[in-house]
Amino acid sequence: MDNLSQFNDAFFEEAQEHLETMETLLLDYDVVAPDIEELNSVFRAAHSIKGGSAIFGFTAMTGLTHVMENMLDLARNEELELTNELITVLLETVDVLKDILNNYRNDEEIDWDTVEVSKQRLENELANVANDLPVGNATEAPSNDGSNSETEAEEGFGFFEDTVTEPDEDQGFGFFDDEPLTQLSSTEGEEDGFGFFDENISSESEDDQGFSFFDEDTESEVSQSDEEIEGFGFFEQDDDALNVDMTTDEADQPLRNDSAESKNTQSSDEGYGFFDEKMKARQAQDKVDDANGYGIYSNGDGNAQAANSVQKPSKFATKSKTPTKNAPEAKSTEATSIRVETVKIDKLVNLVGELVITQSMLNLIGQDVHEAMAEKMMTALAELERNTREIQEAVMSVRMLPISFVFNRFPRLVRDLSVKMEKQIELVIEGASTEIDKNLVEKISDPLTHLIRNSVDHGIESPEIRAASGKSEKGTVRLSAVQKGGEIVISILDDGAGLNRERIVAKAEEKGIDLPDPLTDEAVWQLIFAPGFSTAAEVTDISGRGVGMDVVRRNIESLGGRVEITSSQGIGTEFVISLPLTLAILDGMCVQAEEQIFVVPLVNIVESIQPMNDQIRVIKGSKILWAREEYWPLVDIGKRLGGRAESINSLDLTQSIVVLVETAKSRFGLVVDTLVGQQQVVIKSLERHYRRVEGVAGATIMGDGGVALILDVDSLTQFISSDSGGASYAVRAAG
Amino acid sequence: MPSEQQGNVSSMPTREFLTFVLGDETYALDIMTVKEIRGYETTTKIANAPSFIKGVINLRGDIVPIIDLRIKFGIGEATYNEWTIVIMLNIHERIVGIVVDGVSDVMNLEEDDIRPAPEFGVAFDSQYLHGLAALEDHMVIIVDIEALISSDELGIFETA
Repeated sequence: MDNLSQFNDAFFEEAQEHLETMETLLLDYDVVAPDIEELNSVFRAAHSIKGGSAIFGFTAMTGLTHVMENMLDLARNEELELTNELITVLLETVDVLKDILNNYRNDEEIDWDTVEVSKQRLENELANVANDLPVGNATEAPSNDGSNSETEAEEGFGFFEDTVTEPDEDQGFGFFDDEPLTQLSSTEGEEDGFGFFDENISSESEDDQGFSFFDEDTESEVSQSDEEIEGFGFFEQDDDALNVDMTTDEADQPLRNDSAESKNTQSSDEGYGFFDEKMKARQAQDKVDDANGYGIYSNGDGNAQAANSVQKPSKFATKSKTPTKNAPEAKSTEATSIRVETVKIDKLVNLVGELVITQSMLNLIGQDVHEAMAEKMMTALAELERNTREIQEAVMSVRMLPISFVFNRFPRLVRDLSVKMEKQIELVIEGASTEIDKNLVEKISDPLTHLIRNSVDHGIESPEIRAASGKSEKGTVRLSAVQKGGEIVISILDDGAGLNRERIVAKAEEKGIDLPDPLTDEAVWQLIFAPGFSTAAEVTDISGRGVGMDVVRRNIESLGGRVEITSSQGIGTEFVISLPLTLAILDGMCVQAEEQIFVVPLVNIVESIQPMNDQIRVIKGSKILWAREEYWPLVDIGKRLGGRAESINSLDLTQSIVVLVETAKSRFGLVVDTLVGQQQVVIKSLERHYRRVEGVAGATIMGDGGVALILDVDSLTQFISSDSGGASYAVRAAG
Repeated sequence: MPSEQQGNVSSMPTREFLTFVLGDETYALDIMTVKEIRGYETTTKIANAPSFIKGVINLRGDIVPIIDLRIKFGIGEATYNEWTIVIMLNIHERIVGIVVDGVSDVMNLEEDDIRPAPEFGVAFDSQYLHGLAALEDHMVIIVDIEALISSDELGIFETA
């Protein structure tokens, strides 16, 4: 099935999701009061991976999930009690599965030893707890469910089976078996449903059985008998199939390999067909076109009922199914979402960027329109602007993901770390539904992991120390995300020991790091971001090597964000990360200096003023500005970025405009010639074809097609001391 | 001479070179690196960049640096008028424009036609030269444009 390989990626993605689901659910699993529904979900995830991996020949995963499934099944049937130890074993198995998945994904060698060890471990656990339970691989578990009693046996597990030994029936083992095809085509020709979404499958055919997956065509032959058709959709999220069929089906799990030999050919067919492209191609070529794109993620309802034996041709199988139970929630979400390659979305975002540029271009032209038309034109332009903005927001929202995508991995991390460090730590997550640009999601994950490791390792004390200092033995790490204006603020708060000012200062001196002056708490905390800095008394394998924090800050700053720390000795430490909502478009103020346009991000701007003479002071030969009850050092954009030779000290400042800006670190004024206007700009990378430029965050394209540079206010602070004499004003805490 | 070169039926693979003029000299670069040729337009200056980096322009949505090799290597006079040409190059998946005095021709050369470059007498450092070839009555200096553009000396690309 070479042509299956094209679905590998889909499988990898799905499997990854299933693994993550399993992990989350296992972590949430309450040993004392187990939730069977949750176990069912874990089981289903394992089951889907098993089925899928088998189809695609990823045997390492199949074997392991199989044993896992056995254990989960017992637990689900309350024949086995999941202890914390077992949960840990299961979690570790999930890890191994993740590794295997990655190996397959990257075409790497599988570490069979690990797989075997892991498998063995599960089997041992199983053997320990369930000596008397029939877990064996070869026992046929009798079905004791009335509805399923006669159904048994004829299970076409296409993928496990190279040869299907049932020539007497037209069993279509959609997958690896071509034989039935021939049979089918001889009887029913084009209409036989091996297809995936074959609409009109074999309803008229008596013998041909559609083993398609998500379709109802199986119903056709159901009409002959009362059996269940079980669809084991690969990507199936369908609880129906599983719940209803669980009893037989799961009992049969261990039997898969043997199943095809079992008797009772009359009965139920379990379609394990997956994506049979081939079938489709051969048999339903004329229909697949429209169905094709939907199939992979559609819900299969394997439970088609016997009653409606005659199917009208319907476009999508799922529409005509008659579920016996209420559809699970998963179904509704799936029906309303589609998977799109990020490349396509990025392209869309770029196009919207171009649209924003075109719109500002039109705005520019609109200003020159003759009077008679001007009013109409302005109305139309205003409309266009609003629409453009809405489109832009809509497109951006497509790229937004809940931050839970990142946060979800941390419960596991904290659990593992706290076990390892013998600390008791609770991780509280808040605001996990806060949405953030997908590109940021990927990039914020590593820094956050570092910070959480840090909180667990250095922040939270051991239970003894905590008890001694009158705290509860269980430490808390609170991870929260909230949107504030155009920013996402992520906070990592622990109730641990707090940062130790003396130790940090001592360490910094020891490492030869320049101490800031004055040595405020904030300044001291920032020292921990210096390269090579670590105060942990001993280096653990969790943290303490001091390579982390400077990377954390660099990563966050490269995203246009910043990190702030607050800490009180004995009470705790909080890291606050502020990030822009999106990396693509920015509200900016266009200013002009030395004939060039620069864009100042609106978030940084406090106020723009034309200074009066009495506001200008000279300190040590440099000009500073008195405004808003404080002194503002100045950065001369014309000189720094516009190429003017003389400094502001020799210019008449009252002829200039000063844009007061603030960053996390400092507040200062930018001296420019004029303000041009406020505008949304699309951030374009300078680094893409050139390199990073000091003081510049990127470039944008203006309405006239020209390029303007976007100022990086944070990195402009370095010019403060040289442009404006007051070095002591240089680092002035905001607010 | 050109008739000789181009008329030869040879088994040697030929490569195409775009010839351009800097000052009084004719240079050539591998045409496969050329993305497009366009007129010079005003650039947006980049602060604190060396003088041969004229700035950046908007090339259909991409922000592309423009460099003037005449300034860098002191060849001819760096004037900008309606005949000034920018050759847009595609090098290591980046786009860079170089300002030249003019673009003249496309020539086919076999490896045999290219003679080793002299160690001196050319404005470019020999490590950026592929060799010399004869065109009609004068020499064409064949530039290893990839090496030149991605060199640390120009410093256009940040060394990763």
